[in-house]
Amino acid sequence: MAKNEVKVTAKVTLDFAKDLPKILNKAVGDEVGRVMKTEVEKYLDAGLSPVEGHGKFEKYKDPAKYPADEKSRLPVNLRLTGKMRAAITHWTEGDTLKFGIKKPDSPEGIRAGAHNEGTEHLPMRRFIPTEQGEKFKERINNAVRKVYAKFLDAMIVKSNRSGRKAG
Amino acid sequence: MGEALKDATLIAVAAQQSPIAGHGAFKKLSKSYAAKKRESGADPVPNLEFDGNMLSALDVRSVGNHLEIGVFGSEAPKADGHNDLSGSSRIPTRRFIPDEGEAYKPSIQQEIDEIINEVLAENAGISEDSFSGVETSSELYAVLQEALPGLLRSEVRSAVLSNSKLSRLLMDLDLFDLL
Repeated sequence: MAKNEVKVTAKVTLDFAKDLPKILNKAVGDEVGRVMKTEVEKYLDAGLSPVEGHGKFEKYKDPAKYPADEKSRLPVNLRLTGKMRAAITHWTEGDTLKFGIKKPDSPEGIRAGAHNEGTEHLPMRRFIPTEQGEKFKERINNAVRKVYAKFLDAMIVKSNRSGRKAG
Repeated sequence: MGEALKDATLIAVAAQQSPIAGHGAFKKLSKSYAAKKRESGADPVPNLEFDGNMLSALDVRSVGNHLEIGVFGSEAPKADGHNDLSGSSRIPTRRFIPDEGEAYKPSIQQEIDEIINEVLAENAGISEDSFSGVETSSELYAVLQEALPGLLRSEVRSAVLSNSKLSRLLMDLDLFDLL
């Protein structure tokens, strides 16, 4: 697979962004991105894919060879130096919030792509949903919905302070 | 929902914490066992992972109208060693499956409730017609609670705010601020 074919970004196609586009301002986007990263990290620390339809990451085939003495053989947490995981981030492109590795051709991006898609030498260990309809697991989606709920709640409080009927 | 519960369990265990209310951080490993784990290449911490087979066998099954979580099959004895649900384990209890009468930690229970309520809200069949004549907060909640029976007002509010379609509908009907 050519390097530039590897995709390690997810369009955050959440219902909220579609139904309530004005809600997706920078503050909301930043908090959604932060929450997604926190939740994804918890999954990776447990050796578990955060992507729906995928389970625990496949174990190392020959742990004596890799990871040998470099780190523990379990859990398989996609962390050796920490650089790839540190590169997981969020950003906006127009009206779309994106999450993943921003520079797919960077060393971290290439490594991430290899894990995410698998190669002839590496089993697939999916940690970013592909843009072919995959999504994060429901616990992560729930955490994100709560971010939007919080911002919507603040809108109600603000509006009611300016005087609306309660009944 | 079952998958969410399994994930919450595995994530807590990886953090060396029990997901069960009334149980805290897992007891540290004995020096000898920690050394054994270290020599084998596993993390010398109480994360219930030596070869990974037991946690891989954690499963959630639908039984009637409830869910059953457990470690079934050949890994079950190992799981009972840690959970001591049989009362005959000789190793420190590191509970990751609730015993009869036990519950999950409130944070996990709340997550599961939120996920359930989101599904209920999504499938409640609430439409523009449902709000015909609604002008006050009380009237709004009467409609919502009828569509989402069994939920407290605060849970109804939470479920609506977490559902983009419902939130959008209420905004379009100029009823959103009544929440």
